Amino acid sequence: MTMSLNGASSKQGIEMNVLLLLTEAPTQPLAWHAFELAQQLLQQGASLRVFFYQDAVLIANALRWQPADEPSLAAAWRQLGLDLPVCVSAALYRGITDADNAARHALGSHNLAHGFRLTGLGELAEATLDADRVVHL
Amino acid sequence: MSDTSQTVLAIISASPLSGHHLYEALSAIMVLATYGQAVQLVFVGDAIQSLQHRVGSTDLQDSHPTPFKSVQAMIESFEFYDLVPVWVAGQTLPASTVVECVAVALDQVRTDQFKAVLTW
Repeated sequence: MTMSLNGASSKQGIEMNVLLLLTEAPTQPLAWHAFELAQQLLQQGASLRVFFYQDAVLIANALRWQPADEPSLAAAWRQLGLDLPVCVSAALYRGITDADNAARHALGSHNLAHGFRLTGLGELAEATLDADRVVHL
Repeated sequence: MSDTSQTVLAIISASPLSGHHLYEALSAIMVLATYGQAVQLVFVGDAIQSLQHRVGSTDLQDSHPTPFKSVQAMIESFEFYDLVPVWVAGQTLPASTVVECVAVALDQVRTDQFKAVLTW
């Protein structure tokens, strides 16, 4: 028996649509806690969507170097097999772009990490409307 | 506000000096409201300064172009997004606010009754 996010118990696990709004930079421990929460929610059977906003878009920076003995948060998110939408305005503001936006804004190159995609805040709004619960980390 | 189960509670504590962080927070909230998501805003602590009429200015606000977009204009437009009245945590309201505000005791608010709590 597991507990649902609103406190009700369920034998089948969490049967709800959950949206994770991620705003913490990959340098923050909370960014990893958010990923671990996503793992747990999926294991409990939740229907999960995520949205990368504010400093969390830095997770999608393909040019972010890390020592070999440190895990990659971007790779970890990719392994979950989820759609990984990233706010386009927050990303561009922080120097992260895909090929289309690089061409549109005359930027010299693009660096959006594999598996992530840029999108507008409208997608966050639609996901919020569809979700039973929204968790902001 | 009676049934809050479909409402997002957005708690704003970032000060007006938090620059782009506060701008992005309010941008997201206004987009949610535009799409029809009910949002209840509550300003706490340093964020309450953002609700007040500007009585002074800083070098950054007066420089051209400004390094950060003004959130004051966004706050002034809250009424067009059904984001008023704005809750202000505490027993008293600022003397002069740019939007309709009501004072609330935040410790009396059942945050678990909301669909989501966003904290900025």
